[in-house]
Amino acid sequence: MSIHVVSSKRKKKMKLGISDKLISALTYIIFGVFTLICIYPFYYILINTISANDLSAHGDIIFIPKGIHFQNYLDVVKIPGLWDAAKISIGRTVIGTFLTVGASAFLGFMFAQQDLWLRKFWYRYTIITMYFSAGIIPWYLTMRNMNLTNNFLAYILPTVVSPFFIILVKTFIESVPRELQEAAEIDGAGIITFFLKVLLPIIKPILATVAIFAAVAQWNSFQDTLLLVTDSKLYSLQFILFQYVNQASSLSSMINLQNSGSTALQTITKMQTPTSIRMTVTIVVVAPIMLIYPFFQRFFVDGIMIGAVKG
Amino acid sequence: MKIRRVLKKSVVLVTSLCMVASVLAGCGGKATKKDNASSTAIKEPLKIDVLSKAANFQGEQPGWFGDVVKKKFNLTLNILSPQVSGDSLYKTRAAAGNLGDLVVIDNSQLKDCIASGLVLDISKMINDYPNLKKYNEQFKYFNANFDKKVNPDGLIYGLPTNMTDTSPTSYSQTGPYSSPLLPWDLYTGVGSPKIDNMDGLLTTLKSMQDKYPTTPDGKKFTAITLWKDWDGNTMENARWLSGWYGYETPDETSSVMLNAEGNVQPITDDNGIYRKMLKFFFDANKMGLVDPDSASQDWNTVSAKLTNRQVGLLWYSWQTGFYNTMEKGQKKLGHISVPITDLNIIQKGDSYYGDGNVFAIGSKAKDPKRIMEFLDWYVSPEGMRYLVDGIDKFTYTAQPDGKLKYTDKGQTAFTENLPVPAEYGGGGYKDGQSAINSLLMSDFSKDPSTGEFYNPNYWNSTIEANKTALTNEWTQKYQAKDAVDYYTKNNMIKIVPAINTSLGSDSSDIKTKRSQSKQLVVDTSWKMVFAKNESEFNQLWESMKTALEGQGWNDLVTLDTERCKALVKLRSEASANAK
Amino acid sequence: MELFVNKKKFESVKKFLYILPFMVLLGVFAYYPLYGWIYAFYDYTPPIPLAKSQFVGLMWFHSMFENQIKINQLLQVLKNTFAMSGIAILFSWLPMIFAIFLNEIKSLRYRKFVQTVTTLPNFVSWVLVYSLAYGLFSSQGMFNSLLQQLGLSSSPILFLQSSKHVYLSMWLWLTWKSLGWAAIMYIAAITGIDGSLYEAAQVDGATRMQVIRHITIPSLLPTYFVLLMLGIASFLNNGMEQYFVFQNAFNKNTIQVLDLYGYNLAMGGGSYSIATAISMLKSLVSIILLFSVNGLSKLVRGESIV
Repeated sequence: MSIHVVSSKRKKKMKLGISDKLISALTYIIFGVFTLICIYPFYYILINTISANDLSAHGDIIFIPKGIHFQNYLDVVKIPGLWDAAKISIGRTVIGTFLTVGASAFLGFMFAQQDLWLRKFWYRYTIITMYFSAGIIPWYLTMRNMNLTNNFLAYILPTVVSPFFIILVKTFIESVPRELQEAAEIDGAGIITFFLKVLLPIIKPILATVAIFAAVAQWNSFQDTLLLVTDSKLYSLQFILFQYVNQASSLSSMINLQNSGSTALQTITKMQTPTSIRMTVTIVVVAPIMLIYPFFQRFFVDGIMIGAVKG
Repeated sequence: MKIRRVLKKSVVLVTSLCMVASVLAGCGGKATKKDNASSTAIKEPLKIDVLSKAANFQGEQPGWFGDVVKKKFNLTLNILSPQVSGDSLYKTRAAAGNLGDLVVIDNSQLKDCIASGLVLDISKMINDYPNLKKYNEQFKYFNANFDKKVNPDGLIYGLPTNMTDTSPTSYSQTGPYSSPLLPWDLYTGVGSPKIDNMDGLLTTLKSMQDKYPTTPDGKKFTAITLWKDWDGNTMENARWLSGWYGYETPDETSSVMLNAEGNVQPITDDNGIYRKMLKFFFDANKMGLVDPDSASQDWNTVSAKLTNRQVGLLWYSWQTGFYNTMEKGQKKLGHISVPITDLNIIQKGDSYYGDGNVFAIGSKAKDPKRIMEFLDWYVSPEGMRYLVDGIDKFTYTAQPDGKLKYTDKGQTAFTENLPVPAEYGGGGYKDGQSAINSLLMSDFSKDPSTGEFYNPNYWNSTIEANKTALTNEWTQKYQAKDAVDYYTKNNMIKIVPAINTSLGSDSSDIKTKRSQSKQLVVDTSWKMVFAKNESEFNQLWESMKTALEGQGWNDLVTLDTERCKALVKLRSEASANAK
Repeated sequence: MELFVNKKKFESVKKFLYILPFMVLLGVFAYYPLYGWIYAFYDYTPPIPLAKSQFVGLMWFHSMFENQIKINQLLQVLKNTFAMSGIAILFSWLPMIFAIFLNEIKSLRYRKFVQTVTTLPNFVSWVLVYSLAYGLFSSQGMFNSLLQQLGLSSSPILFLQSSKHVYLSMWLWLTWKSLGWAAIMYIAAITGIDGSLYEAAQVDGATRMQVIRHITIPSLLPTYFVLLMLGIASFLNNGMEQYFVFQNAFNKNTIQVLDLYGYNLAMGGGSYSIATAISMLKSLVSIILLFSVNGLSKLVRGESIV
């Protein structure tokens, strides 16, 4: 039994009919348009964050940046506690993703084992947890009783078992021929060995998918912090930034000139609007994701199947 | 390839584990154990959790204020903010039995907290602290009258925030919170017509918009702009305008309006002020004076328009800060009060009794004595100076006659977040402000060494410095030193005592009725403002009334009317006491 | 024979033991806190402890249906929810087709570029999306300026306040934001398709469309059906944020989905207990839907998904 390496070269060898050429052209156009409407808003956000703040507030910056400056980003970088929070976020993203991918892979594999004891029951037990939530107070009290408040593990433990990712992996594994596992068992390999040495390499595309989903979720999440963590040393990056945006909003709505002197009135007009701050923060949060994204992307976009096993 | 990948993975794993280890090691975070020994001993560092309803920052108190507190008390304030983390922060901590060491909560929360034993009785402790002792009578008064069911012995649990030392019937600010404000250059540009009533206002606005359809940089100018995200029980913009004619919805009610004479009217009153104000906006819209984007706008967009003078009529005193500057003032540009002859503004007086929130000490607080010490400093002149005025010699300085004035740095320290010198604590000035964001004694109390208010905007030096060609011309025309002065002289404003107590708590049934009726009132109000014609306007009003009745509106009106009556009684008591 | 049976049973239980710790984890985080559903039967306001709160039984559940006006409101809200979810389900195949045709792009660099860029909208928060929408569709926004310049309309169209086409516009925004990101799952699945199938098709002289129809799509169907079923079970959960930022007095009637309705109710100072009650009902409906669709799938396709 062999699984051939499929290279992109094969596409050129296929017969090209007229309908194929039409499809090809249509594909390029449609994707082109969709790409444009995806990228323009982002471009708009970017140029607004580097343009003069008052022009941006008046909606003058549409296609080209004017009055280029980087003060908005400098302001973000200067937020107290930002770098410590960034370390926390990186830590939880790396560890959390690693554990989530591992657990999802393992559980997806186990649930695909037909002879798992009470398989259907346990699978359903896992899946339906996606559809109910007990409410914020019991959740908080439970976490508290387990000493998971003000604890780094609170960022990670609850997300280790993620039903959705388990489903994704299980569905993917079900397309892998059963014979592979049987062959390994005949060769004397235990199922753990099979899992680690044979299966994992084959299911890399779905693992990369789960990894990117889990990583983004960890990186973006801060709802958990809101209630469970009150020790500022454990605040995540998203929380700090969320607060930064929030403060601008509330400042804007309550410009109580309580502590400003006579000439201070001039400078309020130069202050950044909440929308502009939101835009800056969006870029700050997305940039790291876009930097590491290609690393994951090559696992599933190439069309090259990785880890081919020649039988 | 495979080996490299495995190697890469293990490097990543090891690195991240190291990071975790260092993070976890670093977050020992627990407060060093409390020391019940009194303040005479050398104090160990103590970190206290401060849950403040007014705070919009969560984290350890940063910057210069944090430095001051640390130097004086070796205290670190860990601020927890429901405004940032959501009301669930309060709910979950309350359910778990420990709100925090020091809390700033509102009256209705205080009631629940007393009933559940979450806050400490500090009656016996007040007399040990010289500055707090001065206000003991006021504290006793508040707590005794607060809620006899929950606190029958009148023990002191809560210390009201923002108490002034003026009087229940005075009003110390220079402008009413809500009154008509127009751009002066446009107003004089159409001949400064005398405005007799709301219809007159419409005419004036129309002539302004017709003559000046765009701003100098080409953006559209609209006389009136509204926004959707501040709507509470009613359409927010209409609610404040009702205040111009003497009616407001008291706190803890949602279905009625009350005026200074004690007259109660439901919001749904056909001849009532709320409907009149909706009609005003409706007429304005028919005349093309209302921004068509109003219904889909939020405050963010509006504030941008304000900075560019794209809006004509303003009705919050602080909105002028977006466009007005000293420079513009010298050119006679800016928004300023323009009286309407038949105004009858209702204005809550100084918060002599506090403004609805309280400071309280959590019942599980780590070291109540040290917290009391901190609170005592909070109301001392030294503390007040730090909280309200900033840093001596950096933001303000004493003049030869003893009074204070802003330094040059002080004037822009807040808005420009100027760096604070290292000896005062470093960091940005704005960043370093007290994150608790709440005062115990108001900034409208007298600084004993200067005789002026702590509030810098009311120092003589600041008032003089803020005079511009604009304010001078205004003073000339209206023969008054500020808006409140003018309105008082002409009997256009009524000051009602600000009462601070809880009028009752809502049952869950009432709460649900309120939230449902609120939605209906707000949505219908918007539709009425933008109705196509008068018959649609009237029809929407009628159907709203019917629908409200179906939701139990009458129960709300009955309850709220009772509360208003209680409020009226308290107000007259307060007025009597003031004399 | 005895030994053999025991060994099999032993194997299967051994496999269970491997997943036991995870099941316990789930039990602790997801099942144990369910005791909190009891709050829905009391008039509970923290911090007043449960012991001191009044027991009200099914009152909260009844209150949602207690008079005609409320029922009408609820019906309208459900109608909106059904419409939004319905449209989403109707077009649930879009990410799959997106992935398939993305895979057909010859140039690897262009393909990677498109794939990356189309995931960008996923990272823009709904609040920011609304600011962008406002900039585009307000009366002074780009669209209206364009329309006026082209002479197509004399007065600005208030797109954001219209209550017509709300379902369509909300779906369009949702698609824009989530299509690229959702397609990733299918893109990964395509990579997992057995290469020998393609080779065989090539030998048979199939056109690209034929390959798609006979190989790619059938291979993706298992993933599609699973996701479809999960989507149907989530019928009542549209999420709140998107509709919250776009709502205003004029479109509220058609934009208010169940989650937003619940939020509006709770934000009015409504009780924690009501929120719990609503959450319980929604969970119940979701689980019923899940197993119904599962049963249906078993009937129609011969295999169950869960």
